[in-house]
Amino acid sequence: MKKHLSSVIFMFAVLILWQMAAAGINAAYILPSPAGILVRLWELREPLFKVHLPSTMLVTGIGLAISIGLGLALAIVMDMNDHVQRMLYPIIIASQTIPTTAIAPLFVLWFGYSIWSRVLVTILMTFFPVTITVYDGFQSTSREMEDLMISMGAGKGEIFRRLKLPGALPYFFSAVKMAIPISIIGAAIGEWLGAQSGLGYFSKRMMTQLDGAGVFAPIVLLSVTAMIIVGIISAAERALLPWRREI
Amino acid sequence: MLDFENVTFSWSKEKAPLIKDLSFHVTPGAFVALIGVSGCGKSTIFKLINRLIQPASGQILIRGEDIGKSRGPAGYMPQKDLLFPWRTIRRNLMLPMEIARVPAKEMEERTSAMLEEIGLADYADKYPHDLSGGMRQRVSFGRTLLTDADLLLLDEPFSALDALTRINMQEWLLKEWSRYHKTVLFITHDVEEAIFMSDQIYLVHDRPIRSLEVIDVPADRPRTRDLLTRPDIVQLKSSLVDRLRKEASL
Repeated sequence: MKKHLSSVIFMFAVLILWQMAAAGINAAYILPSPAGILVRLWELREPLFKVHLPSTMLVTGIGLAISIGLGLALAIVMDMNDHVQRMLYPIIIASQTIPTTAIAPLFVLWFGYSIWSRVLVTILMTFFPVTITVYDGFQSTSREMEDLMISMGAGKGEIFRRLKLPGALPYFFSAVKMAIPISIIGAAIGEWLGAQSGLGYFSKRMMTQLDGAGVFAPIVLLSVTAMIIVGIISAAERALLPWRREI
Repeated sequence: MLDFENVTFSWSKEKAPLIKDLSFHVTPGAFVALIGVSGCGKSTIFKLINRLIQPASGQILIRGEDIGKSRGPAGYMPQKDLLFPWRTIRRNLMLPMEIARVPAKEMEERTSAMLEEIGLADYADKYPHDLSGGMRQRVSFGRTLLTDADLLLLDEPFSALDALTRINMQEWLLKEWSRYHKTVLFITHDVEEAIFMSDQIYLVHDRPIRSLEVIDVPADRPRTRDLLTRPDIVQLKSSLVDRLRKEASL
């Protein structure tokens, strides 16, 4: 806790300044105060927690799961075969140059207002960091350790299972920790562009009503949720990779 | 135990060979030091025996059998310990046996015996980063022994250790070697280490490597460090150092 003390103090200082600035401007539709946002969060708790948070989490969950699966699969085939790597890598990079917000309306055309248009936006944004990070993980394992295993008579499958996979696990956890906030953002963007529920959609609706605090409330909820999930994954990482401590 | 027969190797077809028509023999049970200036191709000889690279021509035989046919023909101990950081000491020792598909029960027993042997039974469930450099090299050597190979290839295993640990490890290794009756091929660039440890010194002295110069170490076993102050050994040492320095300046 002690090492976070300075950042906690800084955050409170910013919040207090914000609160004072908001009081000075005195126009909640332009700059709602932090306290105002918390009050609004409490007032809107029914729709936020019962309807929109579960809706966003469903999209995030499906999108994240598919992204991790797809990212792992791509990383594995690219690591196993250089030809596949040369074929896929540029395409994967190119996929990231597509402006998500521009292509998302197309997804809405394809899938309508079903969750799949939003899931697709989430995947488009999330699979990339997962693929690249895990692929880096596979590539980072020591060539010398691989040689050592070959000298023991190990085949490709064995090297993958006993060296590459465990060696890439820390990278995998980093990838997941990175992917969680990105997939939540992806889901929210998807909701902004076309949905009938979800925190992104809710925030947009509040904006049309010039409800400044109402715009912020779901955003606060989104980022707190992301922090909690990342915290859980970090705890799992510490429990599953005890050898990473003290390194 | 180990035979090179007219082995030629080069890194690519265009390049001049690094090893040309090389033949040499290592007798079973011998402790042989392979010395030469850095970059002379000592490690390439190990890579060939480990089948990490293939000779352009010639044959490499272990116990008269071409190494192309066997799986993991020699036990290899690299310069760095290369212990897997995510495996405990016990599980690091198990690695070669897992690959060789040794039955679980036998694997457990042999691992426990090896932990006693290398004096690290108390560290069985620790991770490599909890151990000192000397301890890690002991684990690495134990792992090499558990490959069950009769020929052990040790590639400058102590070069990263501090001087005192290094002396202790040399004596420890000789003790282990006399117990297990293995054949050892030991790469080093430390002349004193080569003399103290080995029966014969194979000197890599030309480029490309066409032959190895065999120098017998005139000393009985068991040895103590006093050996290194005996006049004829001091003489041998300084002549070898001179040879190597000339090679290095070429």
